[in-house]
Order: sequence, then C-alpha cells, then structure tokens
Amino acid sequence: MDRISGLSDDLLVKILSFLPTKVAVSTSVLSKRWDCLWMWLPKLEFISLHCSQSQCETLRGFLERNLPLHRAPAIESFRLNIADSHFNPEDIKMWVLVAVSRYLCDLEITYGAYPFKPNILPSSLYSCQSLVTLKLDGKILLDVPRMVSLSSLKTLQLRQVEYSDEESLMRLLSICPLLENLLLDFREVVKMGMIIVMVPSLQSLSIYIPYDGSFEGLVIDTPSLKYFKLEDNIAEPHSCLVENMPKLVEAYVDVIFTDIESLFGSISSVKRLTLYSEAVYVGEFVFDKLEYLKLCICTDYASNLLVKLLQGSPNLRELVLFEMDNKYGDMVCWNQPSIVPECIVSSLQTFEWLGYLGRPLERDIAVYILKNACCLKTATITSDDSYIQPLQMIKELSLSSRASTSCQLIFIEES
Amino acid sequence: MSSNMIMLKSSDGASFEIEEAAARKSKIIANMIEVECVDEDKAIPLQNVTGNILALVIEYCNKHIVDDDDDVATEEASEEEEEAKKKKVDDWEAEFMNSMSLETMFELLLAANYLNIKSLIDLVCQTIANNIKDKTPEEVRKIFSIENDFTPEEEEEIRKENAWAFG
Repeated sequence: MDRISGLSDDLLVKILSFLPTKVAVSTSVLSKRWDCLWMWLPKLEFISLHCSQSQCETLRGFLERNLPLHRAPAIESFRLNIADSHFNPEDIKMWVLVAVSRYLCDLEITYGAYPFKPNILPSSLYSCQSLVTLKLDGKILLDVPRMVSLSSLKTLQLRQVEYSDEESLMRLLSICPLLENLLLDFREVVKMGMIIVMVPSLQSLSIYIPYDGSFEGLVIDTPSLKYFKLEDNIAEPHSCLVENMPKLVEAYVDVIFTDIESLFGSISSVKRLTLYSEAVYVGEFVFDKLEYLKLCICTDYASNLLVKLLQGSPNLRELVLFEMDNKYGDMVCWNQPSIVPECIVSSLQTFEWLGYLGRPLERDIAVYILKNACCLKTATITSDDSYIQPLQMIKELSLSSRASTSCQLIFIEES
Repeated sequence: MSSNMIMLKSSDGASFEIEEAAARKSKIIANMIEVECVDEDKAIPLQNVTGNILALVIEYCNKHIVDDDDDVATEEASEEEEEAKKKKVDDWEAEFMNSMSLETMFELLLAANYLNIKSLIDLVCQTIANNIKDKTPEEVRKIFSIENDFTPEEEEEIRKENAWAFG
C-alpha cells in the first residue's frame, strides 16, 4: 500500500480534519481505503452561499442521507452557513437535531435567507449538556423553553437573532451557569425591551445596540467580568444600571446617552480603557488601577472628560487621544485644570495623539501635557499632512517647554 | 527555567542530548520524567524513531520550548509583540516543513504520533492536508501514489452519492 494510505485511521481523519468538509468528503473517491474515512470527521461545516436550487438540493440530499449515519462518536463542531432560500426550515432543524444528539460541543449557525425568523433550533438544543459554544447569526428565532439547562455552555454569541419574547434572552442566560463569554449584537432587532444581563460567572461581555432599535434600558450585573465592551448608539435617554465589576481589566465603552454615572462608577477597577462618551460623569470616581487610557476626542466635552479622568487616575502610564470612525464632534473648550493631575506629574510615561490637527485648542492640550508630565518618555504626534502644515506644528510643539528632559518627541505624518 | 539535559537514543543507535523542557513537548517523555523512570546517565531508547527523524523532532521541540506553557510570563506583552512572535514561529514552521519530502513528512508524523507531540502532529497533518486542498482526486492520487482500486462503476456510484462534494 502507498505511504499515506498506510497511516492509521486516526491520523488520516486528523489530516482530513484540516480540510474544508467538502474537500474531505471528496477524498472518498480516491480509493477504497478512503471511501468512508470522512464519516469519522469530528468537525463538520456546510456552506451554501449563492448556490442554485439544484446545488442546494444536492446538499440537502447529502445531509439527509449521511448525517444520521455519521460515525464520529462525538461531533465536536457543527457549522452551518446558509444564505440561499431554497431550504426548508424543517430540514435545517432536523440537521441541527442530529448534530445536537451527538455530544455536540460547538454549534455555529449563520442564516441569511428567506423565510425570515425560521424556527430552526430544536428544543433539545436548549438542554444539550455537551454544548460549550453556541454562535447564532441572523434572523433565527430564539424560543427558549422552560425547565432546560445548558450546563456546559461557556461561550454564547447572538447576532441579530429574533427573540420570541422579551424574556427569551434572560431565560437563556439563566440556564447557563458556567457562561464566561457573551456577545449580544442587537442589529436588526426591532424591539429589545429591557436588556438584562445577570451572569455571575461571566468574564467577557460585548453588547452592541444600534441607533434604530427600540429599547427601554440596560441592566448589567456581572461581578466576575474581566473584559467589557459596550457600544450603545441610542441617544434617547434610557436607564443604564451597571453593578460593580471589581475584576475588570479591559473596557471599551462607546456611548452617547447621558445616564452614565452607574456605568463609570462600576468600571473604575479597569486597567485599560478605550472610551467615547458624549456626556461627562459627575461623580468623583477613582480609577486607581487605570494604566492605559485611549480617549476619543470627537465630542463637545471630550476635554472635560479628559480632565476628569486624569484627575481620577493617579497611576495612568499611557494616554492616547484619537478620533473614532464615524464620530464627527469637536471639542469646544479646554479648561486647563488649576492643579496638575497627579498622574501627569508622577506616572504618565507615554503620550500619543492620533489624528492631531494642530488647532489652538489641541495645541494647548498637547503643550500642557508636555509642560507638566515629569516622567514622560515618549510623546508621539501623528497627523495627516493634508490638513496641517507639519513644519509649523513641529516648531510649536518642539519649542514648547518640557517637564521631562529625557522625553522623546516623535512626529509621524500620515497621508 | 531548569536546564536539565536528558539523552535520547534513536532506533539506529544515535544519541541526542536535549533540554528537559524541550523533551517535555513529548507527552510520553514528560510522563517518563514524572514517574522518574529517567536515569540521568542513561539515554531513553526510542525504538520507533530513526536518528534523522529524531533530529527533526528535536529541532522542532527546541524551537517551541517557550510557547504553550509559558503564557503567564508573557501576559504583559502587547498584542503586536504576540503577533510578531507568532508570525516568526509560523514562518519557521513553514520553512521547516517546506524543506522535507513527503516521505520524511510521513516518518515525522509517525514519530510525533509515537512520542505524542500534539502540536507537531497538527503541523504535519496540516501540511499534508495542504497537498490535498485545491487538487482534483486524480492529482491527489498522483501526489501520494494512491492506487485507485474502484471499478469505474463503483467510482461513479460514490461520485453520485457524494455529489455535493464534487459540485
């Protein structure tokens, strides 16, 4: 026998597992040795994008015949990506049902076809004890039965899914006692009601709320959280109640609503923060672990927010000012703090400005930081040379006094 | 990091000295060390691995001595540094695999399997899979000298049954 066919079944299946399922299945024709090997594949992926009706029919026939006969004792991963409208939701549901019955670990379904809101998730999915990862993308109906449990689920991603009622999400979260990673993207979700995330085990949470959704408010109670990302594009006043996150390491916050006190008060343990907020918080919060701050300056009151954060972050080491895509505001004023914030005097080592335009107000901020930051090692100014005269800018900044004599000033031009 | 050295002996009698940390990439050798069957003065005999293949295995293990288990130490490293490091390893692996014949690849795969070095099994399987990808069955048969033992009727039947994969 040839060398490759002489390998053990395990190794051959391992080799096949590095191929797309479709290619792996096509090896069935190589020789008798290869005929059934693919049926032991632990990971299966079926994609139907821009396929004709007859191609879809071929896939349907293949799955209908082979999936129930699949030989792998456990299916590690089952991925469906369907963008063609030639499938009957009942068929899709049956495939998921078969996969779920095989000790399924990871299920990923992307659905972008008609009919909308198909009911393709069998109720047994919600009590699949082996399931570790569930990723759903598209207008898939999520109808969580009662008295079920996903006792192994650690990662849940829901993008654009259709919740059968306002309690569906909460019900789903309540049956996942080990959940660690949660992503909720409410794009295309018309009615969200109250978004309530109360998961004691959660370590990573990302929420995206589009500008056009109707929703009442946000309640987050996740005491173990380490990573938090919130993009909330709804400007209308709405409630935002966030409980303390004492273990938070990294946060990305992009919000335009005004009720931000609870949010800022609860993320104050954070080490690294990337922030866009149109409002400025009032409370005297101390971010005593904050080492890295990246602040978007495209809002009216960004400079006030900057001062507030500098005053509240005694250990800040790195400050980045930048412009976020799709944000068009401009700072209106710079009220230089009368007492230089502690971090500027004693801890700030790196200062970076991305998209510096050299306007008087920006120059004042840059000069203020250079003048007062005693421990600064590098200051990097990146600017677009189509907007400003680089020589003029370099002259202004490099001639301004610097508190740190060893500070390196770097100018980068982007065109 | 401990710099304990251990000796490995190939099936054809060649001896190799390797750092214990590198040798531990092999679950089999790691287990031997755990249960203290490794005599400091004696080489571990590896009956299923020839010297030229063992040299490749050791080259691989030495290159991967710091990854996997040492993630804690590099927690402070930035994403870019991580990426750069990963790219360096990827480039090295590509070069490493690129330099060997299919025949050597199979030997290496069997050795990695015998020594239970998961990441090396994955690397070789991935490389072999790359030789199958984007090829027609006829081309794959040719590359690996696989003899087609189907009758034309049998082959036609499989192509029909699995028509989705050939569409």
